[in-house]
Amino acid sequence: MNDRDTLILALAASSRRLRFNAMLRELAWMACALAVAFALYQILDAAIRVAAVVGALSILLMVLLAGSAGVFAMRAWRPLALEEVAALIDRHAGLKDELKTAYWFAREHEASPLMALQIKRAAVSAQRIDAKEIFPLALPRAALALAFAAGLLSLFTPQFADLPAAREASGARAPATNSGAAAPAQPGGPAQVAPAAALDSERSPVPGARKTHTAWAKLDASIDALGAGDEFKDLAAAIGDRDAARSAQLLEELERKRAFSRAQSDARGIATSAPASADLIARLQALFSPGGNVAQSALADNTDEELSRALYLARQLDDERRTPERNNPVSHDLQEGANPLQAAIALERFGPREARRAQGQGGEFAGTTDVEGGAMGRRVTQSNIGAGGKPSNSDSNISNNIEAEPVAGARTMRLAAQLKQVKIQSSQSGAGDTQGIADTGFAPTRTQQARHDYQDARHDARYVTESTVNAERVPLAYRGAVKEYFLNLNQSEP
Amino acid sequence: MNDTSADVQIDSFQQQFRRVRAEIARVIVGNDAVIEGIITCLLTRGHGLIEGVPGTGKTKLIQTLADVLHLKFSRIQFTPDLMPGDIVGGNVLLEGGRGEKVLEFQPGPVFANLILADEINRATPKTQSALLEAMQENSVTIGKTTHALDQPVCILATQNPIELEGTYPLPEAQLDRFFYKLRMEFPGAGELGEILDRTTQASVPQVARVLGQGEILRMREIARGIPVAKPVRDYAIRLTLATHPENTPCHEMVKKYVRYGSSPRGAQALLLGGKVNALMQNRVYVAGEDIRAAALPALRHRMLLNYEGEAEQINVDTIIAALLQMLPEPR
Repeated sequence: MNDRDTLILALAASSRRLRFNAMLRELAWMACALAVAFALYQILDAAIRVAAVVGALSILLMVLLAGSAGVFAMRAWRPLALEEVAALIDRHAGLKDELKTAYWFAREHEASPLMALQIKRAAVSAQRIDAKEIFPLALPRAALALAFAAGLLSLFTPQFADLPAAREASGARAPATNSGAAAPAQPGGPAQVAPAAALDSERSPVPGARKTHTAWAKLDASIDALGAGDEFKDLAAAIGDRDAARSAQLLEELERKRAFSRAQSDARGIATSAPASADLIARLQALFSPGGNVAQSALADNTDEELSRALYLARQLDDERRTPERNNPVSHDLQEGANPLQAAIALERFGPREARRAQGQGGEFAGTTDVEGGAMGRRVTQSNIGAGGKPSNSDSNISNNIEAEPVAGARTMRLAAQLKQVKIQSSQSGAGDTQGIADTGFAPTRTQQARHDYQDARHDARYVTESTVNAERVPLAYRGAVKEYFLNLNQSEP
Repeated sequence: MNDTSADVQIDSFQQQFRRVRAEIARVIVGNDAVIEGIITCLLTRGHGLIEGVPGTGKTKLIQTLADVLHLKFSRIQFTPDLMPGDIVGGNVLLEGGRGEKVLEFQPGPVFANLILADEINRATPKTQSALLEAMQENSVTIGKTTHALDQPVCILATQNPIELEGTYPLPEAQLDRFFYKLRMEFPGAGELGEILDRTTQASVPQVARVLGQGEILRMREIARGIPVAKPVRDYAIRLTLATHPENTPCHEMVKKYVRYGSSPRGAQALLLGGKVNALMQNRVYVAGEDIRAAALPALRHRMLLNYEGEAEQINVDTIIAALLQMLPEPR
């Protein structure tokens, strides 16, 4: 066996070792990709509430995973050229291109004596090399660390995802104990038990999480479909925020309004309440009340039915609200609250707020709405008092705070705010009895004027200086000194 | 030439190289890279330009090299009034034995093996240009006659970088003909002490002549015979091309500060210098490391800075170092 064959055999042996290492490395990266994909899936599943989106992303993830697995497999099976092997051995064994050059010479048809000498030396070096020692088995640390991190993430992601739901549930249960006593006193008491239980069940941990999300989503859509009534804006916002306590509170207020109007009707001997609306209020209130007192087992199967029933009733309520005022006893009763007896009943039963609303005709109702966020970030105050001090229809808004359209871009400072105010005195003051007319205007401050003058002067001076220097033919050896002089000059300027 | 004889020749080359270096080191303290660079110039049919502040031993180094070698040595002190004829010689009208007048060629100091062109930048470009033919073609043309110079021919020039009054920077064509540009560094405290010890005593260190003309020519042949693998050759080419601002890949510094990059002579210098460097490392092939080792002295005088580079006082060595860092090793 000649030196050339010896060299090539030694390189081939090292090549096998390198391929084995490469396969191990690619396997490790493949495992890492799997772990990362699994963790990503967990995060997507927890973060995105829409099942269809999660499904689509999962498919995309699977395709990407399959693609990356294919790439890793191709890389693992890619044969290594002997030239590459020689270069790798040179680099790892510190041979200074000895094997690589010798392999290059070995491929030449005619080798000079010095080439043959080099091949001989390289063959000896290659035989001495222990590939296992130079290329020990090692898994890429980065891949292992990434896989480990992804594994940890996928383990803990479901628990992180449950944290907000658990917090919400625990926060909602506390007021539930308070409302528990009041619940039987409210109309439709027995009927609210099942929906409340349904909501509580849907807030339950992992198994019902998907169902909870779906229920909330449906409720969102239904509230949107109810229309743009003022009384529903806050309710829609609360549902959007998944704020069960706030939603329950708003529904309770709605119910109070309805009860108040019913009480007025009763006082006049007119029965106007629609049974369907009362049922709706009861059911929705029960649905959104923190009903910790409802057995979860009662809700597991018929949640959608309860919700659909509640939403149907909600639409009925909306239709009723949209009925013209003269035919709508609810609306009529709300505005006919001038009867002292009614006011007293309201004060006793529903608190001072509704009582004041009932006395709005007496002029005590302020009817002022603050609107924030106007153009240029200015604060705007708008009075909504109707004719004769009567509140206008928009007073039925509960919070009286209206969000303005967001202002695009950064806030700018008005020019007047940047300038100083100066008083302008007329020059005609000396003319007998004619007094000078004082006026107020805007002018640049002293600093601004000085800065402007300085910039003008500096620009002119720089132009003159540079044009002079550019016109000169500066000797090569002195160019550095000239440039340095002017750079220093610029730096020393204030 | 079989393997054994090749081994013997290479051993002989290394021994002779080391002997020359050791002899020079008896007089010159430190500056090993410059000493090796000068010997490399001699062994690659090249010429060297040595730059250093006054008093660092540039002239002494070349004189010592001349003492170590059995070669014809001549020294030309370049001055502003030096004329080309003072360097190359000329035809002189002489009286023959029978009283007739004959024109006879009187060779100038360039007709030697080892020529010291001291303070070369003090002569005018016209005079400096008298060396162009001798440096590239190893011949001198006077009138219609071309006179070949005896081999080996090696012109070693010195200049100092800080003196500008009364000097004439070397033309690019002249600079390009120097194989290496070497920089004599100012000695450190230890080296300065050693210099004082050697030069302020009664006895001055003497050197022995260790290398003759024939041996030098043989060493030249061995050095030129070192094979170069194609990837390494390509690396030298890439490095040379990367010095040109209009080529890619090109370093940002090259684009910004370089007006013109290295000529093909730069690539030749990289390979030939790499060959000698490889032999000195007991290798019979040129590695990427050898090319890198030759890059600084071979390219630093072949890259011309633009106005911006001159004004910023950019050191070409910095640009070359950045290029070496940017270009990957030969594969």
